[in-house]
Amino acid sequence: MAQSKTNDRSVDFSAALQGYPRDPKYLLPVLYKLQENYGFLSTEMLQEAARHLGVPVGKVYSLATFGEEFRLEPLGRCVIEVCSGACCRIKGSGGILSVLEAELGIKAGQTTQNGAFTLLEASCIDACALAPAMRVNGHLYGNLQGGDVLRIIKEYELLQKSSAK
Amino acid sequence: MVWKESLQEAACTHSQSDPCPVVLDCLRSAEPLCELRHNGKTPWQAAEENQVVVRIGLGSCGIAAGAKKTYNYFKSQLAKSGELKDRVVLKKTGCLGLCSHEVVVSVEKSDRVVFFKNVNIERASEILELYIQGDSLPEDGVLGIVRKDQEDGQKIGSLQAYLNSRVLLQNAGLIDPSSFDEYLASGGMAAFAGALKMQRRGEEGRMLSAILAAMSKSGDFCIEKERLVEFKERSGEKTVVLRALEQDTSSFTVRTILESDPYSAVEGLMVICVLLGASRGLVFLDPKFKNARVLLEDAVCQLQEAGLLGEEVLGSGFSLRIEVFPGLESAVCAEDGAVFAAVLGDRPKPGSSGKAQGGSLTCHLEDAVYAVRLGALWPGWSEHPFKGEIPETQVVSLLGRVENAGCIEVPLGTSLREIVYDYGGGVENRKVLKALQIGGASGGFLPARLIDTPLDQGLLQTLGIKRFGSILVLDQDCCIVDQTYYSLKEMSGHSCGLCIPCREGLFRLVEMLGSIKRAGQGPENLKRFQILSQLEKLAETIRDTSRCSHGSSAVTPLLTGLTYFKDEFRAHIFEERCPANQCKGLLKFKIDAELCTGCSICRERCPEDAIIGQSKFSHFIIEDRCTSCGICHEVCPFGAVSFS
Repeated sequence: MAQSKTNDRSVDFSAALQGYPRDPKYLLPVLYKLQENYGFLSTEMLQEAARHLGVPVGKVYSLATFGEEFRLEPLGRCVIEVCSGACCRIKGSGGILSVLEAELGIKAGQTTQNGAFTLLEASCIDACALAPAMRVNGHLYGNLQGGDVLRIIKEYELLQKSSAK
Repeated sequence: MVWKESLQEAACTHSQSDPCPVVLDCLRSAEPLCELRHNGKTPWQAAEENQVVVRIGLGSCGIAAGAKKTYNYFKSQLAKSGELKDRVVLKKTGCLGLCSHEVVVSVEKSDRVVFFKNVNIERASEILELYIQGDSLPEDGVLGIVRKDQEDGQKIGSLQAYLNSRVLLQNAGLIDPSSFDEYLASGGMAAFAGALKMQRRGEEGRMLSAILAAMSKSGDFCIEKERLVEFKERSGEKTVVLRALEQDTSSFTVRTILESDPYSAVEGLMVICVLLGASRGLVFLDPKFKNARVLLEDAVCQLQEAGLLGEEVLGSGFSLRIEVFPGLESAVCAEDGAVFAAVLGDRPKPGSSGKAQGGSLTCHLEDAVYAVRLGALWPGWSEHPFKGEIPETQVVSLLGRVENAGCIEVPLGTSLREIVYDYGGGVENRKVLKALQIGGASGGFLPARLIDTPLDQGLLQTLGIKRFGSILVLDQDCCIVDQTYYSLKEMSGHSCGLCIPCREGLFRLVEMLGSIKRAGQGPENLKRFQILSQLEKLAETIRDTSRCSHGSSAVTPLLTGLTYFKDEFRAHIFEERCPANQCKGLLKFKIDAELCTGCSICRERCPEDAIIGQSKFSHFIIEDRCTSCGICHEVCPFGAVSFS
């Protein structure tokens, strides 16, 4: 997920949209493409998509806010996805999530003030045999307990600090 | 028409005794109508003499369990040794569906195929040294053995019998999902050839029966015959939308099929398109399925290159396009109207019922794959098809507190006991079964005493659900109220908000269940006692007045929960007690002074500052401040925080 430059208004989103015909039918694929490229959908991107496909911005917005597929805010540098699928939940992912929420001081779906962590509830991360599981920046951690989570978060905090230097 | 003339001229030379090895060659020839081919159900014939084929399952579940590491290990070991390199072939396969046993590696050597389970690098080196280089089986880690020379159906090991009984998943975990050649060798494209043949001969009646046989499989959700006929006779551009979405929220059935056997899914869509005369097929894919999307797009490309898709398919004058369309995963997309809206770039709206709408029609992935399996029987079939010849099965994601979780295929009519205890290996840690939740967040609970019920349409009617993909096993440590709460919360979150019963009603139900999951204070208690009667009344209203099946099915867990587990709801409401000790809000947390080392991890993290104590001295929870969030219990490295 490329998250750099996301707040830069001068980025030309139209490049990502080349190849999609001016047809409202392509709205969903276009939104996925933009999110894939930039990690989230900004107001500018939604406007650009509307212009490109010739549909009202309101229509783009109404589709982008449906369901949980699209994010309208940028992600943090470290994305934590806690699985909340049925399998993980009955094996204790609720506890894992509450520990993370307390540790990071945010609720699921939010990003910390400094932009370091985003905490997400994922519907299923394909690791049912390792429940409860979570994914941090694409790395999978399974058979979790509260203490493991704290250790993992510490590691990523240190990693971010060292890379900042 | 030209092809009709050629039909009479060039007949295929293949016969029952000399079957067509690969249907594609016949398809490409002047008269592409050969259907007489070996029923290549297993891919084992691939190995030559003295050759060893190692297959590693690289589905999502396998990768999560570390299959890539195992694969790379084998790869590097084979590269090191020249002798091994010549003799051993390394292949990737999809997912066998046995998640708890991942990483699964199968080794085909001489007359048998040995499946190994939980293959980490240590096991891999053991397999390499003992079995591949030597000839002795490692002591443990063998999942099952399949003998190649035994005919189908003969029961040797349970694994072989199981693999042979699969219909929709017949290729899953056995062939390379990215290889068109392996798909062809395993009997692929026969159904498409059959469908093309019927289309070319203009056998309209036969085509209709074929499509009805395939699409009426899913019982209640089947398409009405009149609608199908209407769609078939409609002129102009027609689109068939393959709904590659899970049947329910906790299932991973569709993902398993797509990742293990994407060609079957695409062929199924192609077959339905041909039979209904549609020139465009759309795979409406759950956006979560990233691996499956790559495989499907690749499959479509390969089929295009082979000339089976595109303009003028095999010179028949029939053009067919297949597109992979990342859709929306929201549960509202169980409604056709929602799918069509999303395809057109609108915000999904449910309510517009019926499968055929304008030039579009949807079909389920399972039905499409079933059409492919039926298609293999088309040659000898005249008027009333074959339903008895292929056993009707149900692919089930078995998950929760069960020993062997996974995606299994069982014949319809199998009892739930067999599914949980024989296929699933019983309840985890030998605990007592409490209930099954059948159908994800919108599915009903079934108490353990009814476990001998067979899995069929009757059962689904009892539970008040139409279709399902998953069975969640709950043991005595699971709380029905808690499970109902999360199920409703999930469904409420996915509500599209168009109709009031679903939008407001589900929200209120979640609120009420949330309030009985924690201890009441003062006047709240009076309200609390009314909840029991309110829950049922509201749930029934939502069921009866929602505009689409999303709202009406969302209350199923609550209604079945109240039917079978009313005592548990009573305990929560009247006694403020959770019999399974799951609802944290009703528990009291305590620190065991003997076990506590005073590490302060819990004190620092308590959101209410309810824990006091000096470092290196035992800590204490102040009961009045404690909100029973349970974080201290989660983070304690010494297990010193207990609850009652």
